[in-house]
Amino acid sequence: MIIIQEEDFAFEPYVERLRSETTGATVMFIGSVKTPVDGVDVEVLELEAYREMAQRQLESLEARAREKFGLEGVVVVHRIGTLKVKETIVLVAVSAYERDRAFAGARYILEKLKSEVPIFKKEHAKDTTYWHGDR
Amino acid sequence: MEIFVRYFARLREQMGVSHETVELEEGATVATLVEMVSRRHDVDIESFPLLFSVNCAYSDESAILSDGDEVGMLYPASGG
Repeated sequence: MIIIQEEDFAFEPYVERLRSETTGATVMFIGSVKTPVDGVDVEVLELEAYREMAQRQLESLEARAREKFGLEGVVVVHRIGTLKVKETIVLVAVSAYERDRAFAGARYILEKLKSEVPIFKKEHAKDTTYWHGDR
Repeated sequence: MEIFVRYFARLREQMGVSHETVELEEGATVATLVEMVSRRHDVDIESFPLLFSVNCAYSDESAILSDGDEVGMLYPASGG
């Protein structure tokens, strides 16, 4: 399940739907807005997506991760819009028969997401703003 | 042929539009498109850290375009 949305959300319903009789392991990663970043005190993070392409890339990533690690369930919820420090950016949750696959699968999805999915960050600090990629 | 172009991140801000439709000759490539919209908006697109997509798949500047294609001019991914 892949969702890109502006709204904040509760993790529990997504995680609960991953659990079944055969999933001995469920791993959940939550990415949040942090500060400081590279010595700059971030106040607000702006996230922009090429939404149609990001959805397709994430769906492809989900399929690859299911195949590679034998995952039984995958949920990625990625937020866009303007977020404050500590707000949730992304949930990556996966389930598998055993923990090694679940940990490896969650990590794989997260790392590929950061390098392949067209979502762009603009950090707003007190005296400056900049897009990731420009510095 | 008509190509639909979408701009993102700082390039979108510099171009002053998030998308537009561009008329190009048959056989044009992504590089042809970049040159054309750079001139139209007087923005040096080559100075941006860009990646390109054609119809929602990553592509390079040598890709030959077809009528109705959608080209994205993207920043490096930084989600998560």
